Amino acid sequence: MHFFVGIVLAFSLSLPLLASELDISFDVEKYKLENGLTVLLYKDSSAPIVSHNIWYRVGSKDEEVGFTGLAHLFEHMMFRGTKKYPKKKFMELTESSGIQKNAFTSSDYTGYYLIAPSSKLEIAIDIEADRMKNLIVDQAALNAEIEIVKEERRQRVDNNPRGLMYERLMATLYKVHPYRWPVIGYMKDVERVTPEKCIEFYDTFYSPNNAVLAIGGDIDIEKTKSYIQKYFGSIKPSVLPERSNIVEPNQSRRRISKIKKEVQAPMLSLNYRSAKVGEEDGFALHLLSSILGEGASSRLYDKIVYRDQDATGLYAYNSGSQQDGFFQIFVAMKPNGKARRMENKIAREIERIQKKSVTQRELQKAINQVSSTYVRGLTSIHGKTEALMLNEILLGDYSYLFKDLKKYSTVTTADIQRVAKKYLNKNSRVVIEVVPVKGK
Amino acid sequence: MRLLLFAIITLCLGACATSSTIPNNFKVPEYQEKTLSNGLKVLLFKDDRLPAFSMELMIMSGYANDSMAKSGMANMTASMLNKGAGKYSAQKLAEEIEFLGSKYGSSVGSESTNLKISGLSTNTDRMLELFSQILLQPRFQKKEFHRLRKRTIASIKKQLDSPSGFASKSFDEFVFGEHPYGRTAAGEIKDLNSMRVSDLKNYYQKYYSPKNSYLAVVGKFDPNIVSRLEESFGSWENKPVKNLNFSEAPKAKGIEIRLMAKEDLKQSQVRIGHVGPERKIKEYLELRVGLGILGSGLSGRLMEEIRSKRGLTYGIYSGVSFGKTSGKIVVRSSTRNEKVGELVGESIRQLELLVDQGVTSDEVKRSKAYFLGNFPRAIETPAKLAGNILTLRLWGIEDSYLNDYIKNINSISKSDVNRALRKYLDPKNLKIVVFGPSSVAEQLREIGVLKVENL
Repeated sequence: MHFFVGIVLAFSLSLPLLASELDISFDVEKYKLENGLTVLLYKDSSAPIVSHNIWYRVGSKDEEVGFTGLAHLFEHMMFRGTKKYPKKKFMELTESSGIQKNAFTSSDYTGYYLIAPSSKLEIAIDIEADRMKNLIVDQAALNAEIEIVKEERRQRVDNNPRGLMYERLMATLYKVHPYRWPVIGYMKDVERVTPEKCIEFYDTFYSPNNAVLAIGGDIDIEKTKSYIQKYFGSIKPSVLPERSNIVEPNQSRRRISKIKKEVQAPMLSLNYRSAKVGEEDGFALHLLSSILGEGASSRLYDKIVYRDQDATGLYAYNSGSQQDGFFQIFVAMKPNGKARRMENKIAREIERIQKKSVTQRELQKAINQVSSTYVRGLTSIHGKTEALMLNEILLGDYSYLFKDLKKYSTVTTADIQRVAKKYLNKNSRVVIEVVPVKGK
Repeated sequence: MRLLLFAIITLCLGACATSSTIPNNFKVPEYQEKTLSNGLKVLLFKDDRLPAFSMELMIMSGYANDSMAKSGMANMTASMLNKGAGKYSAQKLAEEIEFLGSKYGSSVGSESTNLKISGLSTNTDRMLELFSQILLQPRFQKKEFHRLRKRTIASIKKQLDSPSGFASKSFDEFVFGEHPYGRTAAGEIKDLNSMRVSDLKNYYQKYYSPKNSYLAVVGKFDPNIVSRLEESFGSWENKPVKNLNFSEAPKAKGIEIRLMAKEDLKQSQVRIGHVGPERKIKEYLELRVGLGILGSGLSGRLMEEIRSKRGLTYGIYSGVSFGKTSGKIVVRSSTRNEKVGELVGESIRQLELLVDQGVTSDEVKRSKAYFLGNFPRAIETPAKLAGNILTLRLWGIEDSYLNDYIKNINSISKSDVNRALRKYLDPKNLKIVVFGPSSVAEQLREIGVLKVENL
């Protein structure tokens, strides 16, 4: 099971774009069980495979201070077995059925997927329904998973300069909002989780009315519906808590945070709070990020990596989550690179766009890049099913996958200029730096 | 035009307990093969479901051709192709490709160089034009070469900042020594510093030839695609290619451990293994099934004992990779510094158990089911099938490998697996790399002959 940084999937959400001439859609049946479970079914018999996905509307933002990392740790616990399928049996059954399994946690949701031969669909549905309500949480399993999560944290963050940068970024962008703490949590918080805490979390958030089930692939729709009713139908909904909707106050001054580490070269990111998923500005922001930093001919790459030879790598992207978003420009600098000089160089390029916008060709290029990425993301059954799920979970309607694409073509160079002015200002900037230091 | 049809698999030999993971009428998708006038073999994988188009050229020469003192040559040559080609400067070429929303990239392996362009099928003509300029008219300008070399050297220096990548690279060097598989594609800084652009031109002349290559075309394309390919690539001059020969990689003697010491690491990376067999061994599938029992994905003995029971790691994986004349078998993991000894010790014990006591029938059944279950997914789309076919062509394996895959997996017995494991796994002679702080040395001295390299 892996810990999934929410930004990547949110970025993927921006992927479903279509240039106006592309018009891709596929038939999806959507319905709800009596217990509130939302179901999406998508038939695709191009291969004898099914992609079974169940995502719960709970992520790290729903945790409480002192228990960060619980959503992710609990995701690990979901593989530790139920009465019907104890861990060993669960592993053996999925392996012998040729089922690939994994899960991920983000700040907004937790997702579980099983990619199975189509003849094993009933097993997949049975397994997921069973662990939605019958998970066994015992101390020994929890102890092992706590150690595993701590290793995961060491790998992804403590030993990984980019991971450290991301964690520091979230803590600097957000002072109040729960996005400020890492999905993987802090070591001390993870260590203090008890089985009781897990069960409380489970009973609160793991229920049919807090989940979306999306199954795509080589399925018989009627048969699939009957399996879903058979296994999920009797699970009772729970009373869901009110979710906090803390509004992060606007930033009034530039913030900077430095991480000293024994690395070979400095790294720098410039970050700005931006649109949350579904907001109109998101489309223009995505295109702006592409113009600034996607590909060798993008403005910043061309200037900084190619012409000035000041960096080994650079990219920009816009990341929208459920309740907020951020825009990032990342630079892998050369060993003797100077961070302030780089920051100012990037700021000047942004100012150029704020004053004079971009060319029509640059805008069209960005739209074309987005269209291509969209098509690329839809080549597999699992890719398509996941894309449907992402839109359903974050926007409440899977069909945004098809609709949103056209919106990119309506963005103008004036829009690009407008969002650059609105979001990418010095006072809104959060700078994260990795500063090389020598070892002892 | 040779049309290759894959037989419908209806037969089921031996124990068919796992055959229900794949329907009896499942067949490997079709593709076509054609040879252009200059000997370039073209593989066509049609897929009309999405407006996508891609071309991947595989040249069957890679960094194994970098002779000593010239490491990084194959990689630099491949990377230089799009830094100015035909009528386009480096940046103009990038812009033309990116304007289409297309992506172009190159990658270099030990025995292959792959160039790939992909994008929307509405831009096929343009992609053909740009791709053929990259392949046939690279400019190899000095300024661009110097620019690329500086960036490559800076990237090589940064390898130390990626613990997993650095550990894997160090392991390859340790296991293979001076054998070409011990190198990285990027090469060594001292060799890059002495490289000249004329070296790259020579490499390009020597190894880039249609007869040494396959071109996989995937996606939505018109019936006249072959004549357009002939127009775009037919002028590529054919010449004989002779890849370098090299002797066998040296075997490990006893348990040899190398600690690459860096003090600020909060977790140590571990690699355990040895030289493995070449791709063409007849026990290929038996070995894969057996190593799958050791560890595949989230399952296997290593994960069960070392992660699940002991909580020592986030992940422990066993892998085997194959080359033309040899390969490697490796167990890959990481753990907190104070547990390195335990993780290494237990991993070796698991390897010994596997060879000494063998596997159970149940384990074989499950591992076979895992491979069968993954099979449709591995060739789910024409693009995935293309990738698999190119790999088979590289190693000189017949297409019947895919045709007969299900039958062959089904027919594997427990004794087949045990035989393969005993033949190819050697837990008494291992090379181990640990990338961690020097304080872990004490834990390792008890396990094997240790050498510490302070970074």
